[in-house]
Amino acid sequence: MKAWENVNKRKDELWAKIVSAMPGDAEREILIRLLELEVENRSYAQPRIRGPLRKVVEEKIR
Amino acid sequence: MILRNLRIKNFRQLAGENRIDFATAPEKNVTVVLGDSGAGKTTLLNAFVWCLYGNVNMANEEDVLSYKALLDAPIGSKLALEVSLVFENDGATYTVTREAEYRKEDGGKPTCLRGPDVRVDKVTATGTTTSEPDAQRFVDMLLPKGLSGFFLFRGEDMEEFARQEAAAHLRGGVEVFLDVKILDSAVKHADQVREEFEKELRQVSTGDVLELSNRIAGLTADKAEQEEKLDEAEHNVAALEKSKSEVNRKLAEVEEARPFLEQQKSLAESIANLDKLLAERYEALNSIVSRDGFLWFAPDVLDRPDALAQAAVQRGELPANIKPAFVDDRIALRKCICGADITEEMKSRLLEWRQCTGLAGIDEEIHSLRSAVKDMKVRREDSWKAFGNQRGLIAETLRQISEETGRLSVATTTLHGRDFGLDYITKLQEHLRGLVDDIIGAKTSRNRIADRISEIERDIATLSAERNKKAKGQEASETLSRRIAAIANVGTSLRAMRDGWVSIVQEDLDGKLKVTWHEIAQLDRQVGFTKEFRLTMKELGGYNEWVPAAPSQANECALSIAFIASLVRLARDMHQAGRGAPASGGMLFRGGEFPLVMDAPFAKMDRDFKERIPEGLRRVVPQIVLITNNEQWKGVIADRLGPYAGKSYVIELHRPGDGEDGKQVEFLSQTVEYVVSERGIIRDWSILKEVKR
Repeated sequence: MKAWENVNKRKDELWAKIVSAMPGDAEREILIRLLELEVENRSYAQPRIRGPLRKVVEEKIR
Repeated sequence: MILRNLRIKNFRQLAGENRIDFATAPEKNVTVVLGDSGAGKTTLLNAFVWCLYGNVNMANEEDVLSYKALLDAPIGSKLALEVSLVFENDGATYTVTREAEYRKEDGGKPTCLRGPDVRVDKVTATGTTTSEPDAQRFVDMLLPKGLSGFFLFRGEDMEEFARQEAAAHLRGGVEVFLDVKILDSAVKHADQVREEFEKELRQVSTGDVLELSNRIAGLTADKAEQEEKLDEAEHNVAALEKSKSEVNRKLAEVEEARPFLEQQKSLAESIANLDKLLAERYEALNSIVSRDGFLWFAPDVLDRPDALAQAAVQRGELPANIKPAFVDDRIALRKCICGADITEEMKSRLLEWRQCTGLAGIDEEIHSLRSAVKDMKVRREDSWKAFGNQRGLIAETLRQISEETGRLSVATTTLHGRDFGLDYITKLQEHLRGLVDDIIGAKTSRNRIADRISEIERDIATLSAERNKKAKGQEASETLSRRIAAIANVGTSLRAMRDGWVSIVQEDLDGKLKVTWHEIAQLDRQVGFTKEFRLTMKELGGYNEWVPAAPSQANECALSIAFIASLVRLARDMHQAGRGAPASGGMLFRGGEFPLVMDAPFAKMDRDFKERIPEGLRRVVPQIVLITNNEQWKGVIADRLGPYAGKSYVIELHRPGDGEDGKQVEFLSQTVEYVVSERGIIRDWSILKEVKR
């Protein structure tokens, strides 16, 4: 179990490093919303992501 | 996912209702299923796959309904096809059932009336029963199909994991494990939205911004083209590495075969020498026969003169009692031995009689003949003894030849009649050299393309930054530029996350593989799972340094098994530690305890591996279902795994025959029907039978 906790810890660190390297909050929010959209749509053969994602970007970057 | 039982009804060869209860106790966690060639071992493995995913890797996928069940059913009747797997997971008991219904039509062919449909029923620890609303999704979450090949596998395919060209397959497996698909999908959608904004920007912008946008579009198109080329180059490298791997394996075969080749050579020489010796011994035997053989077949010839002489003695004819010199002496003395005078008349009769004593010469002749005959008899005895000895030596030589020929036959069978001559090896080595050069060339070309892509990406980034500057003040263009930059950043972050995440787990798997190897194999080898997703094995060379181990089937199988056991551990760790970081988007695959269902996994291992790996594997993984034939089971594997077999079954194969040419085998100290010869059937069918101990 410790091994996987260590893996997850490294993953979290990686994630934190990548997110902190992003230039702004807007990008971070787009990234998280995009992943949420992917999870919500994962069981659909034709996921509806492009439209909602575009909207998110338009909302966050005005 | 600890397997409880599997019920199979009318699936392929397995006609009627069949059931396996799996061994689950920690110290008896092995279920052994024994089946002859053609009995349905792969069918059993396919029954798992069909139950879970609805398809199997068969040429005639639609032909899953049992032929025997169809043949036995009356026209117009309905037939059920069903496979049902019961397992435990997280304290609940699940039953996955996939079933279909058929009707037998006039021509004897089946029509599918319903299904195949899948359902998953769940019974919780408190006894609550529910059905999963989306059964297939549930199965895919529990064990994604992309991973099933690692847990339910055919031993024949297993060694492929350890080959150079398997990197993509292993990477794919790890990616399914980590649910990287969701990150890939996010990257794809981010790119699509970016492309839409780019298009809009080109429509609304003017001047420098438009020019820069067009240049970016050109570079993006160029990048897409280069990416296609990169894909092609990757395939090319993989194909060449596959060929290299093939050649290396053939060279390893030569290496493996070397002791047998040497044995074959030495046996051939030994047989030639023995043949020569045999010829010499036959020569010696011939010589004895031709010199003295006549003596053995004519005992009368030697005995007759003696017998005749004896008879003459008996009759008083021989020997002549009075020798001629005695008669002469008496005549000269004129006195008989009785004292009476010898008259002229008597003298004349004595002289006459003396003539007859010429027989006394015969007596001497006979004496000398008897002496000669005695010599001949001794010679006959001696030669008879010599003949017997020589025949013994010949029999011994023939026995040696037969023994050596038997050994030669074993060595030749082991070599499968393959030609491992110098020409063959030289050609392989030349081919290998050519392939190494080709791989270097292909990799250089691939790297050049990858460099070109990086260069294009840098150019796009530079131009994008420049465009952002130029777009300032032009409201529509500025907003679109910023949106493009933002979504491009999102894509870059996702890619970095994806690669970093896979790399972290690759390192973890590398560590797990090393530990697992030492636990299950206990052999002095260095194994690894590289950044390129390749399995490697090194062994100690002649100069006490680690050198790559021969890519033999035995090594590849052992390494693959250790890797699979590492994946089992990874799944267990994942499950015990809970799901991954929420930022990853939540993983579909949650890990868990997984059994290994293996069809003939140890067949290609050498004795050293067989001694250790099966038993070691049993300790590392929670449950093993071993499907094997008797040849592969008996001996080392039976010795090592037999004590841990909690459940055992035989797939009894029924084959058309005269009812008498069946086959029984010894299995776990019992005699079981292995192949049943059955009158009146035209095609094989099988049935699973438990072997109770």
